[in-house]
Amino acid sequence: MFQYILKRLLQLIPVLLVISVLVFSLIHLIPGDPAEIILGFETTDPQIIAAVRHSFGLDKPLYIQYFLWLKQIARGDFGKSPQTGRPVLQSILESYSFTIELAIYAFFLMVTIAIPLGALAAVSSSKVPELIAQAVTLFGLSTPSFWSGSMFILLFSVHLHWFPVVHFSAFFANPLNNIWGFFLPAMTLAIPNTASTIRMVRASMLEVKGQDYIKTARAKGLNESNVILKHMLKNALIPIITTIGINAGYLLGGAIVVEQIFAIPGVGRLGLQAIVQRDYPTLQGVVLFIALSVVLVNLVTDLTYFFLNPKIRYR
Amino acid sequence: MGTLIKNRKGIIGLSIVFIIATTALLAPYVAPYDPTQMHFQDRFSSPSSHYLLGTDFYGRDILSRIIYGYRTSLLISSLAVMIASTLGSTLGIMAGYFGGQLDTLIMRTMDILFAFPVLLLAIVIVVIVGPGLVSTILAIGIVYVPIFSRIARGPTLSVKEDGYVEAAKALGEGSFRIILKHIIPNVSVPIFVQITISLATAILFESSLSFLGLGTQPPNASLGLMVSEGRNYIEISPWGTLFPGLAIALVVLGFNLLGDGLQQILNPKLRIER
Repeated sequence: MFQYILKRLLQLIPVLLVISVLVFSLIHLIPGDPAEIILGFETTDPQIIAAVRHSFGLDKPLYIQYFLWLKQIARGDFGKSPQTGRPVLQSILESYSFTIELAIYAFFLMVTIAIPLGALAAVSSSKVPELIAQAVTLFGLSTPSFWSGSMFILLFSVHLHWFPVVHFSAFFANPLNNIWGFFLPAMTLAIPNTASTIRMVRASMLEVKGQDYIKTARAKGLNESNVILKHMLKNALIPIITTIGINAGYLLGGAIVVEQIFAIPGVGRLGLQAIVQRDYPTLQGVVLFIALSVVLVNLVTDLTYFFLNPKIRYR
Repeated sequence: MGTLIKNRKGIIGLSIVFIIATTALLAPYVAPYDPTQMHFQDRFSSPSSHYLLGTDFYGRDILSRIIYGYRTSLLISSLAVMIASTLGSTLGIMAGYFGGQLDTLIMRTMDILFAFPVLLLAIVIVVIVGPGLVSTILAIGIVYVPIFSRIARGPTLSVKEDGYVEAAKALGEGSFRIILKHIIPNVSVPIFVQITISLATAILFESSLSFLGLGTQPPNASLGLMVSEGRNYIEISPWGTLFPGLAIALVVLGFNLLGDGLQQILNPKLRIER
């Protein structure tokens, strides 16, 4: 078991390496002088530009620059925003809590809707759950989140006044207000991933439904809810958890668009503003943060799958 | 094809895609107005006999812009998926057929690309190259390569061990000929199914990038850009956001149904048995 965890952690190294190289290269791949890019094109004074070039080691060979940059990141120094003058890490950490809350809320909605609906669609003798599941799946997979989010705001906030348009209290200041205010953004983010999870739950349950041990369980006289919950769902759970884990990673990426629609001051919105303002040090920090978060989520998914799947655990 | 016709989902999907693609192709003949033509006196018009889906904040006909927007979306998505499927399949077949260190190198690179959040990777590529048509095609194409490589590698690995391939090798047939004659026909069906699925997501992807201002640039008509622009006036006139969004959903639905239909034909377990 420890061997598997170690193997999995070692596999992370090339991934983290590539991510770090990509993020480092961003400043050098964008057209223009890297020193001017770091300064946000705020000055044309050659002396200032030369000073920045020297202090950031931009006059050194690329591989040395990379290691200097890596050392800086490891110290927690992500540089300063040329626009605001604030440390990039501070801005990111302030925004991160919103993104994490949004992702966790969306994850919760995804799981509570997808598993029961997908399972019912597979096992129910009535066609209604199957039709509802198909409708939700097709809607979720076909509609872009930037459109469904905008429509939700128009219908539920502007016309029906059921939800606030743009109003967020911090969770610990006013939990109920916060949960109510985040419902529409979380639902918007959850919908596409819920759709693909419903599909996987349904397919996995159908796969298990046809197995001999289910027929045996029924032949033994077990009641139907016991058969479904104890035998079908439990055995169908492993591929479902893999899908949920993959979708958890997508939630972090999808948050970029949802934050923009609902004006949530999360890390995705910070990144988009950085692009518009040509604040590339902040953009570097945002890309690094989001990429590392997704890698972490994927790692947790793999380890969860490992612990739940006896075929791997007892090898 | 006969089996597809009997599959309801597949035939509905195919019909939707066919109608939209034909309309987009014949846009100059089908669109009632020039998509960039402004009718200032008719700004924010509701749907009417003059403007079937209304007009936007510049008085431009929404239906015409949607038809031309379909052109942009389908063009970008098709080119991107074509790049991804060609490059991805080639890499996957090479990895599966030649195996060894080449397989490890290719598939580990694909794993790393897979680990990166897709939208983020696309945004980074677009920022580096600069927003526009070419960078959007490139960005979407690159992020889709890993999935095609994985799909091509699987059947390659199993066909490689088959008797007739061994016989062909023994007869001295070159690798390229073997791949062309034996591997590609076995890989083409799953690749084709993935192409229809990827076209659906590529259209969503392209419209997301355009919505964020990183994809197709004005004054080119783009469905994502239309939704983004329409949002500023959504309370005065929801048509500028509603109809382009529905248009995106319709074409994506078409490809999704077509992909579902093809998958059902290939995997009967996905059909419900009562």
